[in-house]
Amino acid sequence: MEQLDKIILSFDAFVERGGDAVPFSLCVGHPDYDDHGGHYCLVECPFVRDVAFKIYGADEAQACELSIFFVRQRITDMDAQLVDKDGSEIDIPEIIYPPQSSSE
Amino acid sequence: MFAPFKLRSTLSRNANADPDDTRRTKKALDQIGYFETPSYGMTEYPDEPMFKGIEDFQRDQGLNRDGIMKPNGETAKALEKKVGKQTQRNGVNVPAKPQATKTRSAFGLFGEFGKRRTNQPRDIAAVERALAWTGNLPRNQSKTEGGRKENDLFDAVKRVQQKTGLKVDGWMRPYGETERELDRQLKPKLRDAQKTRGTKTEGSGSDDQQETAAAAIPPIAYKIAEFFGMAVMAAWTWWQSMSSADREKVRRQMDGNGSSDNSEEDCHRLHYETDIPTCNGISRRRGKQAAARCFASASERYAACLRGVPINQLPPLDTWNN
Repeated sequence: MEQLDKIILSFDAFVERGGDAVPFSLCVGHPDYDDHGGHYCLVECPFVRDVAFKIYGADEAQACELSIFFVRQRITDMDAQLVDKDGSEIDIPEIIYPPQSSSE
Repeated sequence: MFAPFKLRSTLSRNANADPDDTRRTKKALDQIGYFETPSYGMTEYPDEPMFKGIEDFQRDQGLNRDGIMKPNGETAKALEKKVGKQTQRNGVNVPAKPQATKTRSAFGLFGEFGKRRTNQPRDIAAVERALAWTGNLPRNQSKTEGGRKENDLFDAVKRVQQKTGLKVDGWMRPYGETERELDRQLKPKLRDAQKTRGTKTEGSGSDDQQETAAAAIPPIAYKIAEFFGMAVMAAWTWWQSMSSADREKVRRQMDGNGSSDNSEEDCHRLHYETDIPTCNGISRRRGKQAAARCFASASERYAACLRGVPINQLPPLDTWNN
């Protein structure tokens, strides 16, 4: 099983479904490339799938974008809603790729 | 009009396939009974059923079973010859009705079997039955009481190899010559069992113990073998190892033909083995813009599939053909 080495997004929240709220975590790996499908992000999100999975795109930016799209879509499809610790509705942040350089 | 079978470029799981090659290969395989059209139809994109068809064809032709077909390579030539022969038999150069030439394997291993080999439990059970039914295991050894000594089976494998002129080493591997030989010996017995099932029951007093035992294979094992492309004995062993809940799930999957109750596995397979390689191919051939549309539609299809939309009703993969 592939492991996430470099993480481009780490997001923790709660997911409400059927009246219950359970912890939700999402980790998206830095875009990588393989010959099988091209550019991809490795996504770890136990709520969506037990194992880490790859989301492919035409380039790094789209791989990031589709990773978020796919997770959001699955949450919606499962009639679930992301909330913070206070119970307020929140959303997964977009990934900005390439990352904005920060002052060091 | 059915064009003669000729490849332009290599077909393999890792290569960028030519759509015409893919279409022709699928048609050729279909014509000789080696392609099972998936629920999403016969597309111009390479998919797992095509590569499985190539591998099955290679296996039956005694070629290296690698799922790769090169222009003027052994597999392409053998396929060309086979298709050509069939076209000649039909008299005209038109697509032939698929022939019932495909023979489902009767016996197939999941891993290596023999001394210090993998010896998966399901293989041990299948090998034991296969050896017993083909008369390669003495009757006084063919009753399992608390598990047969595996050495008896290894010896029996050696006997099969000795009798049939194969290398006598007492082990076999999936798609190896010993497995093929056992499969060859077993097929007629299973065919007979299928014919006589219903007229004989286990313990009905028949003298032919092997035939009676073979007749005890339940119809579901044949159905599973057909549906999942497995060997009959492997299907039966698998069925026996399932919980009742799993049996019900498999039954539902077969009854619905996978069209209205996708398993997640089907969705993963469709996405990662068909849609993604297709989009990657588009990326190489037509550039980023076309690929971006393709990948976006692939993600939508994947999510829709997991949501339970039947595979044949998924939104189309945007291949930007028009």
